[in-house]
Amino acid sequence: MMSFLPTKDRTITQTLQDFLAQVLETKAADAVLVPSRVTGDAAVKPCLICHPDQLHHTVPLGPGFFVNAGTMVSRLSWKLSGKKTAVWLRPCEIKAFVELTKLKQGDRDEVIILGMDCPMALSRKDYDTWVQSRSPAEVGPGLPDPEEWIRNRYEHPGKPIDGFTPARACQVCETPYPVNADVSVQLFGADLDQGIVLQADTRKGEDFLEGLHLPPGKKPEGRNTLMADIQALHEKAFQKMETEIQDQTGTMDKLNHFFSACINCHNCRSVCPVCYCRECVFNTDVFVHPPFQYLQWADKWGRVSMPFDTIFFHLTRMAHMGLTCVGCGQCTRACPANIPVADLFITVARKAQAAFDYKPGADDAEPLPLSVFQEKEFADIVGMGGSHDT
Amino acid sequence: MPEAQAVRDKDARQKNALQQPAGQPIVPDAFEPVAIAFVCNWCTYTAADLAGTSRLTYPDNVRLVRVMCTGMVDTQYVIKAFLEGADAVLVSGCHPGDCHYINGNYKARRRIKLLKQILPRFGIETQRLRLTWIGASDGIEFARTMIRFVDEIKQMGPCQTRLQSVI
Repeated sequence: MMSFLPTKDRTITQTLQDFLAQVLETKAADAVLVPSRVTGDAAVKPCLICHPDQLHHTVPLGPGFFVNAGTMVSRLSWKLSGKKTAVWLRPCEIKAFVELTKLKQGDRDEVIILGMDCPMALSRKDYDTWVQSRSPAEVGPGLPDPEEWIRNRYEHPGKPIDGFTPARACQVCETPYPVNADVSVQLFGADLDQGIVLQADTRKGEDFLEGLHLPPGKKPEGRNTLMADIQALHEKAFQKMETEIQDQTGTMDKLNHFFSACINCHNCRSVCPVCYCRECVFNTDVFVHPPFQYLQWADKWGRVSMPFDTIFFHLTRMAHMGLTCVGCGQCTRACPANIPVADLFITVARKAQAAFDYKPGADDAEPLPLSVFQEKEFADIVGMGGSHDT
Repeated sequence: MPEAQAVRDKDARQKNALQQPAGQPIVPDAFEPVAIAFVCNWCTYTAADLAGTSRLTYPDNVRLVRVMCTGMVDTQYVIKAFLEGADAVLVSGCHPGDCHYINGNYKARRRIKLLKQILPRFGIETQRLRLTWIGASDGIEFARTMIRFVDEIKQMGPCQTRLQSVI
């Protein structure tokens, strides 16, 4: 089922704000979770909104992306609330949430996922510059109208906007369109002066759209071609990134260089939507070493940098969450040392996921690779190599 | 403590062997690798015990870490072993279907599969990480595997992580 959301001389942001207001007014959902300005300035975070009069703060589409809302949806759904919440998510946020539901850290039952064609996001530094460059001096820094960003992203994807290119993680994204949503909001290829198309992807999504009584819509022409173009572009960008990362981290020495500025703040872990452990092993005493151990290491290698266990932390995190990595790029955004953490993690994760033929977030029924096993599999990695191996 | 002195002497010998002028190849004979083997209590450790009581010898380069099941060998222990300078890591448990805890070895296999996707990207060659199944009655097999394992690492030379500290 497809519905149409006419713009009628409104901006895209206004159109979507009015749409979300309609969702609340018609009781299609009791609350909506949508990126919103928290105060008057440019900081954007997911906000849970129950009253339509609060929607004018919202920024459904824009280049600001500092919290992966997948984790937030999990906080709203780990237990039944008796209320229906419509959640407005980027594709990588949907994937993160789906991964968390597989770990029983969230449930789709009371949640209606509205997934959008992704407007992509800027790095933190670029976002600040973008805000500065578009804030008139007399007004001071506030959130600029994202309309210019929206138009450019959907009408000319792949083209820098006035010198601003989206974050690396976004440039290499495999699915900049919603997968596994209840309702997908289709903007690529749409005539944004006319309106936006909403497509129900599940039974729940159909019921949701029916309740809103919107005019029927049809798939934007040229959407498929545009999608294929974008995917080809992103695949090319990924290959470039992979080569670069291989050059930068191909040996332990290079990996040392890559992470040399890391201060073990573990921000990358805190913001990671799929770092799902209730208590991380790095917060426990498992790797608290006795003082003589450090001295022994210093004697062995001649020196030891402190805090220690930097690479150990990153490699362990990679092994623990790599198979569920959704490639949202928040780790890079959160890094105070400006290390492109996501570039490395996305590169390694994508290859590791391929080895298990696993696509995180794509299918609710597909279990996490390390939570299951087959009796006969991966025979090639067992044994010392040779005929007597089993 | 004569034993402790012997260990120290051996370490010193190893250190000398590694501290050759840069650019000179390490003589295979002089290189004594360190291999960490995570062995399960019920099969491979018992096999090691059997090898011992059968008076079979195997290289003392292999340091056994007894675990209750290979299913508890989290990726972090393998990574930690490498980063602290192990030249190779072996995880060894019961044959498929024989796990004392029903399926721990299947889980181990998936974890090793994952590590083999990750570690080689950073220059830790895939042959440095091994997974084998050695049953409780396979004392001979145990000794043979260890000899071959150490032999192969000697051919490969020391792991990067041994020669330089990893931050």
